[in-house]
Amino acid sequence: MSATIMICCKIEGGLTILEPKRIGLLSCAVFRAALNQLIGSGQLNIPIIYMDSMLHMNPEKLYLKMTDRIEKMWEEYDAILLLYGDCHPFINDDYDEKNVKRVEGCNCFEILLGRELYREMRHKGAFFAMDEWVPRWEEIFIKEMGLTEKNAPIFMREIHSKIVYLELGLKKDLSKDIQNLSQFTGLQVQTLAITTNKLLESIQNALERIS
Amino acid sequence: MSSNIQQEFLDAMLNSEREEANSLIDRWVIEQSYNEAVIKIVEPALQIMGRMWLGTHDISFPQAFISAKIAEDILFKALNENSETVTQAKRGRIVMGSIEDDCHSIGRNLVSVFLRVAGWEVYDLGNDVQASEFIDKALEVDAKVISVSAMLYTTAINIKKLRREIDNRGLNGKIMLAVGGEIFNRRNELAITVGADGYSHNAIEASDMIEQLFEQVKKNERYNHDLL
Repeated sequence: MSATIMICCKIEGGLTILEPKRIGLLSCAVFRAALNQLIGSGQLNIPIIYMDSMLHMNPEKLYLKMTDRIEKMWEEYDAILLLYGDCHPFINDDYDEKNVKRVEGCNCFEILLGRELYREMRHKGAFFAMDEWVPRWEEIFIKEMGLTEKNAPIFMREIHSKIVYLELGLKKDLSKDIQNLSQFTGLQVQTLAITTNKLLESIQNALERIS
Repeated sequence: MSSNIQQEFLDAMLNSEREEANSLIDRWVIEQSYNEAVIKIVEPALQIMGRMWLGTHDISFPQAFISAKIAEDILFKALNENSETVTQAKRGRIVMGSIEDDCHSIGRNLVSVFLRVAGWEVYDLGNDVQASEFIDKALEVDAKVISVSAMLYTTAINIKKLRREIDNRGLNGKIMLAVGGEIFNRRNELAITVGADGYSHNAIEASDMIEQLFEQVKKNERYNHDLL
């Protein structure tokens, strides 16, 4: 799938092709491995700019950084596709006028799993873990969220029933990190092998909205 | 009453010592009651914790959450005690829950505990609740306020469905719609967009807001009665 879309204009006597529309993808780094798979398999061909996934912990900062990044992207692109969930308060409406489209899904897990599976697992109390941040779980849980060895199991078990590790088939061995996270939170781990199909579908749908 | 118990209980809360906090109260109530514990120990501790959260942010979100769970433990014991103190304190019934598609329960749990400690009878329907479920429950238990939470913009917009259903069933002014959740704090205009009758920034202010909505319902009822 190529991200260059021809802008067509109907004029008297037929269809005139004006110029190709240049589309850039602005993505949370949490999707890097999945996007690399899609690019590697030839299913996706689009320029991608990544932003630090840790910005998710600070929505205001994410908003400012994203706005700034989008402003810079206009120098190279006519349309921008946002590969983000509902990650800051203005992400759904602030960019509409500027031909920026966000993929559907309230967060990265829904984007990867699809609405039905995500909802089903959320209802069962799943806490989702992903390759990209699992090696930094201590920074997220202890430094950012303020959890401690003492309160983490109480806190996490009140809200979640298990950790569901979304496994994309990467070669990295994160079993030690996953085990440590499980111990810290007091939650058992279930590994769920996932594909990039739903992600690709989301991107395709958003591209159609741009075109 | 020794002020030590208050301080010890607060310390246990802030240190997330759930068992220790429960055990302190269990020992204290040998000569008192759980209802007294709620009024004399738990509520003051929650107020202090709330001020710490709002003012200096000296406590983390997990600390606040676990403190609320400890308060809930004691509250549950007080309710089971079947003493008149708590039942007399009932100020009214509230149906609450997270709106359709929203599965964020932490903030809602905090609000629920604060409201119950403040004397409201709360029916918490949990996560991902449909508009019709809220209203059916409110009618069943004769609740005057439906309190709905949402964390995300995309889910907050679903509250519009609830507003429409309240209006379509002719319940506007009879059942008030209160909203809260992180997204409303970041986008103040959203409460109006979704058609809320009231909005609270946090769990501590929620009780006052609910009180105002109940007063509004009473006024509406008086007005309707006078018209008849």
